[in-house]
Amino acid sequence: MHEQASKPTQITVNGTYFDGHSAASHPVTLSLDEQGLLHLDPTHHQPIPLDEITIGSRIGSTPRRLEFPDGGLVETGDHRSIEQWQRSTTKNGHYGWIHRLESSIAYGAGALLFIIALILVSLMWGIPWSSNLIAHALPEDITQTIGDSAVESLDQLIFSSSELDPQRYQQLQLKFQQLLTNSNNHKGYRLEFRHGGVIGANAFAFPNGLVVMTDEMVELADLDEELLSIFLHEIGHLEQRHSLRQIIAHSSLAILTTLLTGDITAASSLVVGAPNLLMKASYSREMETEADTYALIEMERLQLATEHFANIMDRLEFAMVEAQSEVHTEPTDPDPDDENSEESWLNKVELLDFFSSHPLTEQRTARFRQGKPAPLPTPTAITDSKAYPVDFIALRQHLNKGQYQQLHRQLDHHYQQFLSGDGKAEIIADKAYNLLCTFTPETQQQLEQWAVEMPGSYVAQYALGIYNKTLVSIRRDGRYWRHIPEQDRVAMENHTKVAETHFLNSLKIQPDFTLAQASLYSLASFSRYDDTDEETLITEALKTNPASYILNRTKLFYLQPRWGGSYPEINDALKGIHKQIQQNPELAALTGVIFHYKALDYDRNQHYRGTVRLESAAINRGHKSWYFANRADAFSKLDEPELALIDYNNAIQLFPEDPQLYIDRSSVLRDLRQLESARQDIETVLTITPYDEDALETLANFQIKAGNHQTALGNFQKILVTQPGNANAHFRISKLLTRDSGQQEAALQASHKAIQFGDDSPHYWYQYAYLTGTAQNCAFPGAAKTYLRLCQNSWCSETNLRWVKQKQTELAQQNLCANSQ
Amino acid sequence: MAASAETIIPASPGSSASEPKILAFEFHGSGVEFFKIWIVNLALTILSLGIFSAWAKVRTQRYLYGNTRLDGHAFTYLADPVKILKGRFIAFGFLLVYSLAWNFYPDAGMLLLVIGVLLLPAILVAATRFKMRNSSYRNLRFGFNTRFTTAYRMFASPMMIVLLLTGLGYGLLQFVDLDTLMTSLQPVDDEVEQPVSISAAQLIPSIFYLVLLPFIPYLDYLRSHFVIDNSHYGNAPARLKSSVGSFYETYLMSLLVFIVAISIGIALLMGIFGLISLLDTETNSNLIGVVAAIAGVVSMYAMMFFAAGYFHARRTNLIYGNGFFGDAQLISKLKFMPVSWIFLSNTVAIILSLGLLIPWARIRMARYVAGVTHLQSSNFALITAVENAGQGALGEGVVDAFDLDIGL
Repeated sequence: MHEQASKPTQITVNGTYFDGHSAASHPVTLSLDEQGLLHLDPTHHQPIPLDEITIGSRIGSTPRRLEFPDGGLVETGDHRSIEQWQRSTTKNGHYGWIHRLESSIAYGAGALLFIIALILVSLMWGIPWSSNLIAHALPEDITQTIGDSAVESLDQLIFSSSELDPQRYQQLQLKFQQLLTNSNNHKGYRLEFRHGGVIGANAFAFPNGLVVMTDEMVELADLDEELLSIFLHEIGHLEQRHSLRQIIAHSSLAILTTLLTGDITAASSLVVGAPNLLMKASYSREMETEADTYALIEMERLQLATEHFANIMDRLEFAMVEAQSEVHTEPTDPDPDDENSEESWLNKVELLDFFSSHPLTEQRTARFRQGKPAPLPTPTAITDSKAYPVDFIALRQHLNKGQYQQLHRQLDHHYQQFLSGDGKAEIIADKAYNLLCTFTPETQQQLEQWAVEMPGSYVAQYALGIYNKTLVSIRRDGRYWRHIPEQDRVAMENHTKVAETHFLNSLKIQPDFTLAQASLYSLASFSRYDDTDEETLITEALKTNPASYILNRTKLFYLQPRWGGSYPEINDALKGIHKQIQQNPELAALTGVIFHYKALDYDRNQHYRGTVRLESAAINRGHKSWYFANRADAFSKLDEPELALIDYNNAIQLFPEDPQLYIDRSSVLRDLRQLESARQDIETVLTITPYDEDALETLANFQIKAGNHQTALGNFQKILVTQPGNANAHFRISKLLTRDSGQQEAALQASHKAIQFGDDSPHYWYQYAYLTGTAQNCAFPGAAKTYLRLCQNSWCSETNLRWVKQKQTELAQQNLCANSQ
Repeated sequence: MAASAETIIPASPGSSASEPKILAFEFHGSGVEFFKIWIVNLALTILSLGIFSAWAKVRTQRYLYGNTRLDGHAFTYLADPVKILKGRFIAFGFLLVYSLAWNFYPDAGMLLLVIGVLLLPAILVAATRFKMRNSSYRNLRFGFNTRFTTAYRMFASPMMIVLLLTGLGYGLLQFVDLDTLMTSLQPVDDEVEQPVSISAAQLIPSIFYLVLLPFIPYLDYLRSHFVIDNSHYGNAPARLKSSVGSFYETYLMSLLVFIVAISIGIALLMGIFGLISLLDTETNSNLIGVVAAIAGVVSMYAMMFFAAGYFHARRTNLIYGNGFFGDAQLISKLKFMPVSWIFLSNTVAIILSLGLLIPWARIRMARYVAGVTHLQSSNFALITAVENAGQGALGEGVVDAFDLDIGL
């Protein structure tokens, strides 16, 4: 019955007949005669011309319907035969092509590809293009209405009225009005301010020409020019009709999805929502870039430094990351220097960027930094009298002479003064302890002796604690945690434990000793070992002494994001500090600390201009040596040694006992070719910390220049007292000893230590190879090999390379050390 | 294939009355076949700028109906694509105006929303009638006989009560100092200088929903009875034999299951997060955190699907399991665990395939439902004895002009 050759008349079809009047079913066999009449067997219906029967279209494997004009029906699954009949008539056969499409895998795959391509094309080009067209064609009064209602609803939902000082409000508005008059682009743009609340620092452009900036944005700006740049950016959005385009694009997307999924009720709203979300994000990205371009052109035309926009955007990003860190309450890696934490932070930002509507800030700001930079603020010499005088030489003499009673009395006196309301005395006491307890070989014994002789002295206990805390940081030596060798970590752990015990002892005697409380807190925050509840520690301490400068400073320090805190937390802490300023005027200087911390962030991102500006803001709040020192450092990195010198002078005036300041100033003085002053600074450092590594090396360099090799040698040897594993010192000693023909053996030993302790530096290895080679020592072949290997990856002097290679062949010919190779 | 009804009917009609017989529903559709139909029709719809969507709907419906068999005979979907297209044009136009209005003139949008809500009973009638009249089995159509006004009359009184109560609630609020109420509800916080001020008018929608909530099972009861009791197959009238109480029972039990499921979900979530915080002290791995967070949220959603499955299974069993066509009773035995699992796995599959598994998901659900649905009757001759209701019945021809298919 199914042979291909069979003629329509030879075919019979089995089916079921329904008369349309009752539900009864009748099995029938159909056949077609030569006249085109369809016969049913048994005869439930008289023969009928096939042309008069409506043959339903085929859908998958569902039964085929043959509808009779009188309402009768035959259903059959024998599609093949029916189709052969269909071909023999002219009337039926429409819709057959759909079934052919539906039943073919190739057409199915084609349809799939077509749909995917179409969705992509319309998302990427179709909708943006058409919404742009519509947005620009919309009449004025409609855009006005849209804008008005948008402002109205945002006013109800999010904004509250501005809390800016009315004078400042007026002044800013006036400034923008002037800007608009100058820019020929005053198409009825207006500026208003609102309190942002939950949304924080932000700015909005509405289709009715209104730009709304939040108070928080105004607070975030250092300069009005930065706000102007934001304003221009927002006008850029308006000029390009971005918000309208957004609205229209979203509506079109809704329409498109309805079209596509017309009968797909099963599709969950998430499936429909996802592309919407993605498109929204990528759209505004493009738009931000457009608005940036507008702002850039306008700023250049108005001769505003374009850098201002980059600066405020950077700060805005900080604010956003802060908001993020608010959500992730879990503190980041407790080790602040770990490069990993930096990387993962970056990754997070990049991941966020995929979903966020703003292009990565760095990409955006780079365009604005290319223009003419804004002028740097110039530092001026300050006139503050010597801020916190400490006669540490006298203190140290007391210690040397074993005059413990006097020491105790003097240090206790400072603290008693603080307790009686002198805020300054606490800072002086803090300084005094730190300067007294710098490392010398004798200090530890002396301090321990003191503690034995005066067992009830909280001063002695605290001093011992500070001494051990100093040792922790010496051991750490500013290294990344993972670069610290195991033995140093163990030593750090031990010193931490000892320091902690002494601080606790001190607190047992003097329970409200703010310095010990702060040190304990800082120790806990600093170390990985301690599981003390740091938060309670500082909170409890501050309850008793809310006006303590040291406690507040320490708390703020560990609230920096890199220590697991956040800027909002710092802000909260500063609010508390504001209330205490009347109690202790010293606290006023801390209000600038947030700028200082942000300046440090800029510094890490190598935006030294930003560092300078933010440090200047900090300095306006109060004179602190660290503000000046950091600004000086930024100046020096910006290649402005004169400006740096002014700030180092300021810093030293405020804190003449800080050795680091002299070291830094000395390097600036060297840049300025004031070698004598530079040298004096180094000597000053050594009067404060006699064993400072950097100072000793610098001094030795000066001495070598002056031909004073023997004293230089002494200074390098002094470094080894505190740091027996300092490879550089060993290397320099070896170099100096090489000059003396009688000291070759000692030189070789020092050189061996340098390669032993140091990382693989070709310098160290050349020195070692040179000495062993000259001495025909059998260690030479190995040293030469290592040296040559290291030179493959780093630069080595041609002369040295040639010497080593020559020596290699020389010794190989002599065959002296054949066995030891 | 199941034997046809004729062979089941016992030789002596007398004995059949005492022995109820059961006819099974079957579903024969295949996912691959349906996917090809679906995707081709979707492509044609797009190519024709949506015009073809009506034909696409007819074809997909006919595939699903045609593969659903009772007693070996398939159902048929007979809708005229042109009429569907007409309905779609009207719905699309309304949607367009509505969404534009919301964006540009929110007040007009609100007005359109009210009009839309007022039209709902009429749409319910039109859509049900369309669906019923275009469904056929054994060459006899189903039907739905009622007037638009019946729907309005039925929903009028409960909705009046709801509105009255809303008004009453709004009136009562006039005597309450909302600001103090809000302040007392908010946690004490010095930082918030201005407490959120709220007017009684803003609360009207909330009051409305609150009042409406206890009426929902009753409204569902009304709606289900309205739809089923006014339907018929041929000349066999359909009846729903269920009480208001059983609707309330279904809804309350579902609410209970929902609460329990959500509680378990929250417990799982907390448990997983607790586990991470234990694991995470040293490693501090972001990946573990992300994976665990996803696992937590997924388990939470899974519990919600569990609750949704329970509700769907119970409600379906309640409405279809108590439906009668003449003497024959539908038996619906959906089990909530399989339903929940199908819900959950379908949704996951649809999301992961970006919608491409929609056809497969529909086939799965249809196959399961058909497998647990039966028709039971003491006298199957009744089915074959059903006759065409004829054209004279209650104004069916007259309303033909209003035939619309509007998806609800």
